[in-house]
Amino acid sequence: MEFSTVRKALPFTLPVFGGYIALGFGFGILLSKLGYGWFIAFLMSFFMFAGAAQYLALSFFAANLSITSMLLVTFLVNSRHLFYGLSLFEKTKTMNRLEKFNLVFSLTDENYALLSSLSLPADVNPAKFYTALVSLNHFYWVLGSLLGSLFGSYVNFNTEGIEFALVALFVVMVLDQWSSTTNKLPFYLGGISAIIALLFAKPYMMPIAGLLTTFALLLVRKVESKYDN
Amino acid sequence: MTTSKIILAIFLMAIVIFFTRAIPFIFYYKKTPPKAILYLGANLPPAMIVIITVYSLKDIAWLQFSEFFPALLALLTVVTLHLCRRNYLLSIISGTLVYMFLVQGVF
Repeated sequence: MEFSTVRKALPFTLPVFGGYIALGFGFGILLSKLGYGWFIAFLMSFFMFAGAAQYLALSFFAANLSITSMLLVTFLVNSRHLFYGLSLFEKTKTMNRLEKFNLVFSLTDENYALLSSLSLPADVNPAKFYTALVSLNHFYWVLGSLLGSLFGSYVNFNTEGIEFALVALFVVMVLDQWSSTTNKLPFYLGGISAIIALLFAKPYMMPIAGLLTTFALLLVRKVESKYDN
Repeated sequence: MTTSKIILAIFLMAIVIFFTRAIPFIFYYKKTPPKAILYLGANLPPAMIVIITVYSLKDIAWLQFSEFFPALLALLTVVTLHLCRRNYLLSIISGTLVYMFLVQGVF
């Protein structure tokens, strides 16, 4: 990685910088509150690199959920990433295997938004430029988490209620999704599935609600396509 | 939860997350995905985000005023700020501070 490419990529990553340092910091504090140190914070932020899934994993750890349930829920929550790649094929054409792996590994909501919206500056090698972008953001995320974890472990302050950051993050995601989606049906189906699962299977609420809503959506699609023909 | 179980869970979750991001590159680089998959791709995410929001709210004792009131006020803060300013950091940080202030200082 050439330094000049990194320097050119840097200004493009500044909006993500603020977000990742702050969200990563909050994540690190919550993790330290559960009693886990900076090493776990590093492992999670480096290898998972997924905001919502990592925040959610904290509540799984606290509830001692089974690994199978954790994996199923992680898959469903990250289902939004399943299609990010489709619109990025063009950008990966000139990449070597390692660069491509790194890009796919780093395909967070923020990196996806950045990659799909930015206009490439002149006189840069696209593959190297995109690699620099996503790697810088990855670095900010890990750094924020480490700082938060150290702060939470060594600075004494009353953290009661800080877990609300998790709720706030999800509510903001719902609001953003709501305004960018024309079909509101999934929101209602998700809400109904969540309440049904909560009433009848509270310990397994997440995987049950996720499966319920998947089946409900497939059913709706089947009915819709019947009327279309 | 033991540290070894957590480390195992982290690596398995990391593999699952990588897999969700890699699927288009593995399966659909040369052909377009089936319609059902595209439909789920567009519609599953909003539903899942509603579900995780409900999940994150499920441990609040809604029938108890001292828990219900801070949560409601903090939620209103997040929603109002976010609808007005659309700045996710501002919304998250303000809502969390309101909640922390209420549970620590008032109730």
